[in-house]
Amino acid sequence: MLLASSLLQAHPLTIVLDPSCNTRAVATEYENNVAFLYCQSIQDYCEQHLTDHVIEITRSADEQLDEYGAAQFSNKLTPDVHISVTFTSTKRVPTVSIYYFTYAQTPTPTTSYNSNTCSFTPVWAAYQEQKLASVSYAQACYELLAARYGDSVTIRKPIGCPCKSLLGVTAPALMIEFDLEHLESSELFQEILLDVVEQLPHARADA
Amino acid sequence: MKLSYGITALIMLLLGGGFYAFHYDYVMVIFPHHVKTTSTPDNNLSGERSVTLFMPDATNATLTQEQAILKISNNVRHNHEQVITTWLNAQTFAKENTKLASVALSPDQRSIFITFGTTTPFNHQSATYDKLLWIQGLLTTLHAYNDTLEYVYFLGSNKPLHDHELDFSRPWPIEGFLS
Repeated sequence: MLLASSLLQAHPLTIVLDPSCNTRAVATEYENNVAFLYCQSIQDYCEQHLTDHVIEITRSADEQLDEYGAAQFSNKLTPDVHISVTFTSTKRVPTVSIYYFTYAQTPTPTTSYNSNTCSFTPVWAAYQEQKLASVSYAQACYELLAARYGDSVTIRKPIGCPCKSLLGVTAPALMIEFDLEHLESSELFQEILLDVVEQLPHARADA
Repeated sequence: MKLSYGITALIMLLLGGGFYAFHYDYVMVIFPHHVKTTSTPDNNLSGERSVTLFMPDATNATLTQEQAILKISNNVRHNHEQVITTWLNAQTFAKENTKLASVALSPDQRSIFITFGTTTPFNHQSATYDKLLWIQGLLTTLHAYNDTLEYVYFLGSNKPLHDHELDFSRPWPIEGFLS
């Protein structure tokens, strides 16, 4: 634990935040704008207060990424964690859902993947490199959020599924979806996202 | 003598021409025992079967069960089509105009290809969890109907379903991801 802490101090954590490019309505705004503003505010906060956290955002405002665009950006940086941030507003109770990537085993895979010998990673197998780290990070985030915000917000247990936004990402990755009722609750959700970002050192130390 | 040479040459010419035509498929020879009679499946042959439909309840984040009686025929593909159509008609989550375009099964019946008439059956506003729950309902219904199925390919307009949050480029396990 002490060794992990000292390692963390020596190397700043690189966190890639990938704001959704989708255009679902979130109260009176569009999802892509809300997600970008959230990520930007986290980046600004970390620059000022969490200097051992380096936040990189996959796109600029109003930019639409191509398929695998976020994954290409993330894989070049090799971050400690990749977080895809999405929003929606279903007019139900405020909810936070955490997802990590997983696939079903296909009967006849078109490309074989061997982490020892393969010189490249097929896009559909990228998640396998850090799957355990993704699962443990998602679980740690869930436990933290459920303990802190479980009374006011529904926190769903981490779910493994083929998340499109995480397809091709080789780093430990998770997708977090906020279901907002009103934009007034945005400060609370901003706090939650910040907690997810801050949770990383603890999750790494535990691992 | 000259006549016999001429007849032999003509026979050889005919044989060569016949072989050429056969080789390049200008002439096809079909023997009676190679002809398979393709019988149209009689959809009225078999009886009825009770099928359990698992309907997504997004408000309570659960699947609720309903029973439906379907007319079952000898045509396996048609039966699956009926199950999915009945399920689609009973559910209220997906877009109203979501129609089933076609269903195909792999020869070993381990994989099923479901094609919807639209590029996506989901409402634009849907949360990821709601989409997963919707798919879980369909997968559980199919699994309850036919337990040999293992993988489900979701297609829309003959391409993998398009969605911003979920990836359909590879098959989904029949157990789904919420089980």
